[in-house]
Amino acid sequence: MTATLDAATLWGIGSFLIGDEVVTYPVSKADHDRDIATAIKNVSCLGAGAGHRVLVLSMLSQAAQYWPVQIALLVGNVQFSLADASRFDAFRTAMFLRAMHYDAVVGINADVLDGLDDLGHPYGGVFDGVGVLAARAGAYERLRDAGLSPRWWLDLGPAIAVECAEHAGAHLDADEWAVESDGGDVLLSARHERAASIDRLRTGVRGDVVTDVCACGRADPRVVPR
Amino acid sequence: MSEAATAGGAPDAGDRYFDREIETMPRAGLREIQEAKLLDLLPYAYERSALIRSTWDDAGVHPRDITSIDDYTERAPFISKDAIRVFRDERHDPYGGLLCFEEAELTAITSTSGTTGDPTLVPEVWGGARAGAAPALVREFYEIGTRAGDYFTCILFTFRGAFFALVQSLGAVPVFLDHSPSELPRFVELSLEYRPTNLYNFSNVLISELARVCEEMAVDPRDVMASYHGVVTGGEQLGRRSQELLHDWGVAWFEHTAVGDAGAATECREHDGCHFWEDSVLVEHLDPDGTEPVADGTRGELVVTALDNRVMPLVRFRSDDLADITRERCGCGRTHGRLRTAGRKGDEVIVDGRSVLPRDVWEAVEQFDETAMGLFQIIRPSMEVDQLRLRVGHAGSASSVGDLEDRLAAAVAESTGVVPVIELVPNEDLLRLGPPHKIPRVAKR
Repeated sequence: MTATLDAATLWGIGSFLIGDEVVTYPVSKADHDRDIATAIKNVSCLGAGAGHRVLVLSMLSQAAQYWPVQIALLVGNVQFSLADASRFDAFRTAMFLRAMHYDAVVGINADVLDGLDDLGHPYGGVFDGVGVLAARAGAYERLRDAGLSPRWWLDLGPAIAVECAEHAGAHLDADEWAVESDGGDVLLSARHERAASIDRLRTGVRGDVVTDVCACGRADPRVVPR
Repeated sequence: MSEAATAGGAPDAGDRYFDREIETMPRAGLREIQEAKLLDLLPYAYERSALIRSTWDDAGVHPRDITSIDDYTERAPFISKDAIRVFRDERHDPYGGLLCFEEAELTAITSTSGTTGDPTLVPEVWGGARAGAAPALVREFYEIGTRAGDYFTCILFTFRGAFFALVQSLGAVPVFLDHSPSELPRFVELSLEYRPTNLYNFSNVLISELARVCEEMAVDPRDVMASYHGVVTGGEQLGRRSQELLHDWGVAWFEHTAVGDAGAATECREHDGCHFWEDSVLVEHLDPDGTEPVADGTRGELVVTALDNRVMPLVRFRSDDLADITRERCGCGRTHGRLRTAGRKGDEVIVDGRSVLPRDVWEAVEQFDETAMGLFQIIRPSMEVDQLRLRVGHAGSASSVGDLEDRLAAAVAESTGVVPVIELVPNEDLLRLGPPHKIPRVAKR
């Protein structure tokens, strides 16, 4: 997706993953402002608030999705730390969790778990005492199989959907995004004009969409991965 | 190249200062700024930092005894890495007794790269008067040609936070990539599409891999790099092979290095040493084995005081970093000091009375195709060793290396005067010790 806006209106050139494919896309300053508003809702959905501490696992190529998360934590007076969501950098995740208490770790992916495996760190030990483990596809299942109770942290193209404490699917901000399931393929559409056209984007996620109001009270649609 | 690719023109040599007044200030003025900041910092740090207070109390010195930089360099005690480590371990304080804020007041806790051990925590407070001055990297980006409307390739990690905000503060648009060889095909595509003007930052690993990727993609690396006015390199010094590749591609590169954990220094377009910003850091240049200053132009240890850091200031910190320094006015007109890094005290091994540093080994290793990435470690169980042992990474399979071990041994012997014992391992084994922009060049075993 090539930028067609003037550089003065652009926030950056980011990327997202569809399966193993990296999609590059332009992000306007207006997009970025709205992504921060969404991230504030996502942080609330996690239950993170003032006085909490969160470890954020991401890659710089994903800055367009994850910098808004950090801004949301900043706005919410939630202290945070950063590590790459990579196999190489898993030692940093382990170091932070050894050095201090975290209320949540978000963005856990399979690469980080592979790195922890390399280091010989059992997940139960590394994540012991962490209140919320927000995991992406590929990591969620491994944490669950290890006897932990992760929540979904779903990368849906340029959007992030987050599961609340009800464990009933990942909420997607309905003010910004529309989501549907087409035979189990989760499709994403932007509700507002963005620098990159996002219209029925096949996210690579297999799942169902639930539109009932969640027991947590949120009315946003939820994606329940298959 | 798409219409979106609207790189700015080459930087105007007459428009090189982001902050002309500070960057070209006469040294007497710089010293006044340093002295004022120092005298403000000392009582602040003494009151809040448990390690600084105990170190100064043990030395029988109080901040009220210090009324000038001269007093300070004559009387203030040093803080060492060992002292921080001991305080951290004995008091179970992850900040080593240096934190000047309540932990709950911190915005973020980031970390250093952790190349040589567990990363050091970096507590941060974003925004507000107590947070200290903004990082000065923006001056460097302006010098190497970043201007409003440019695209700027950010190819790095997340662990030190949002440096890209500095790029955006200049009106440029970041193009985000991971610092990983796997991102290089996308780097090629985005460089050709958006025509960025600057890049932060490249490393030996990426440069070496880019040559291979361009060959695979059948693109000319000179085309890929044609729009870049400047490429900042960091993490470790570039090896000769990386320098030759960048030179062949027509790329101007700018070395970027740490200033004893209290700041950063970067080359200007004169390429005559890395400027460190003396309005934010007080740099002493001392005998590595003593306390006396060494002359400009000779090798000494960097001893630093972070003048703007109110969160966890280093006060007269012996960094172990060895460098040559000059405070002569640079050809660019800047008056701030410049340094060239020489290595770390902890990297040196003595073999039969001969000093060997990683840079003495580097060129010998990277001259062979199988070891062109320059991945190696000096095995250093102690500073003085009976034989020089090297672990060297190679491409290809173990069965394909032939007489590589003998060739390497001969080349290293020629460059160091010491015949080494070589252990060959696959490149991947060493890269796994990352972060991938650099590996620990010294290992205990």
